Amino acid sequence: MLKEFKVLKLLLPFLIPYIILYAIYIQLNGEVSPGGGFQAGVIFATALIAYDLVFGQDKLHKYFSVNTLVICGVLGVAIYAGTGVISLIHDEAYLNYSAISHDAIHGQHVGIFLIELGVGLTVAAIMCLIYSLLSEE
Amino acid sequence: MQDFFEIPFKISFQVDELLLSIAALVMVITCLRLIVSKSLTESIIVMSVFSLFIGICYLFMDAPDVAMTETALGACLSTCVLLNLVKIVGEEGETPQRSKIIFASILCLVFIVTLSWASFDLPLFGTEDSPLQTHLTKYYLENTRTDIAIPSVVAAILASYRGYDTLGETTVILIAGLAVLVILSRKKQSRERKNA
Repeated sequence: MLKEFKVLKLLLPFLIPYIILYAIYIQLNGEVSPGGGFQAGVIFATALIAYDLVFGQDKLHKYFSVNTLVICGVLGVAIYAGTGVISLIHDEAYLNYSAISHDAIHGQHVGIFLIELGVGLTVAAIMCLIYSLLSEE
Repeated sequence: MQDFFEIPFKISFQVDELLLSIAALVMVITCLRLIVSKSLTESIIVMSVFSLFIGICYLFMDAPDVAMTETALGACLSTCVLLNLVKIVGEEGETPQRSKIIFASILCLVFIVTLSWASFDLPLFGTEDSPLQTHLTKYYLENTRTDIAIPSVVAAILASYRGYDTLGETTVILIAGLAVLVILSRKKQSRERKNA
C-alpha cells in the first residue's frame, strides 16, 4: 500500500530496530515501569507490521509463516501454564509463584518474569497472525 | 516553607486538568468529524485519531499502562488491520436507506441519554472513599510491598494476585487468532474448490 513512498522506505529501516528495542525494554522492565507482556507484544507486532506495510509481504511470510506464528502463540500459553504446574509439583496452589524458589519473594519475581514472557510471545504472534491472514488476499 | 512546596503541585495539577479538557474537546470534535466522513478509509483514519487522543487522556489521568495499550492497539494495530480489510471489501459500500438512518439516529440518542443519566451515579474521578477503592485496592496497595516486593503494583495485581485472569486472557487471545485462521482458511478452501 505504501510501497511508492521513498522517504518512508529510507526512514523505516532506522526506526524498526528502536521499536523492537523499546518492546524488549518494556518486556524486561515490566515489574519496575508501566507496561508488561501485553504491551511489549503489541509493540513488537507493530514493528513487524510496519515493515510489512512498506516493503511487501514476502519476507514477513518467509520468516514468520503462519505455522511459526501459531507455534509461538501456543508456546506462550504453554510457558504460562507450565509456570503454574511448577508450583503444583512443589505442593502449592496452582500459579502460586512463591514455591518456585526457596525464597518466596525471589520465587514471585521469577514467576512474574516467566509469565510476562509467555504473554508477550502469545500476543506478538497472534497480532501478527491476524494481520498477515487478512493481508494475504 | 510548606507553601513553597505546595504551589508547584497546585499549578501542575491545573495544567494537567486543562490539557485533559483540551484532549477531551478534540475527542468530541473528532467524533463529529467521523459522522460526516464520506468513505471507509477516512472513517478509519479519524477513528485512529480518536484512539490517539483517548490515549493521551488516559496518560493525563495517571494510567500509563492503559494509555500504552490504547495507543499501540487502537491507534496503530487495528488501523492497519482495518485498512487491509478495506482493500478486500472495497472502498464504496451501498448507501443505506433513509428509514434505517433515522432508526439508527434514534437508537444513538437513546443510548446517549441513558449513559449520561447513569454517569451521574458514578463516583467522581479520584475519590478516595468510593466502594472500589476501600476494599480490595487497599489490600493490594498495602501488601504488594511485603508479598511480592516489586515497584509496579499494576504488574503485581495482573501477574500474581490475578494470575488466573491473565492466564484466561492470554488463552482468549490465542483462541481468537486460531478462530480467524480457521474461518479464513475454510473460505480459501471453498474458493479453490470452486475454481477446480
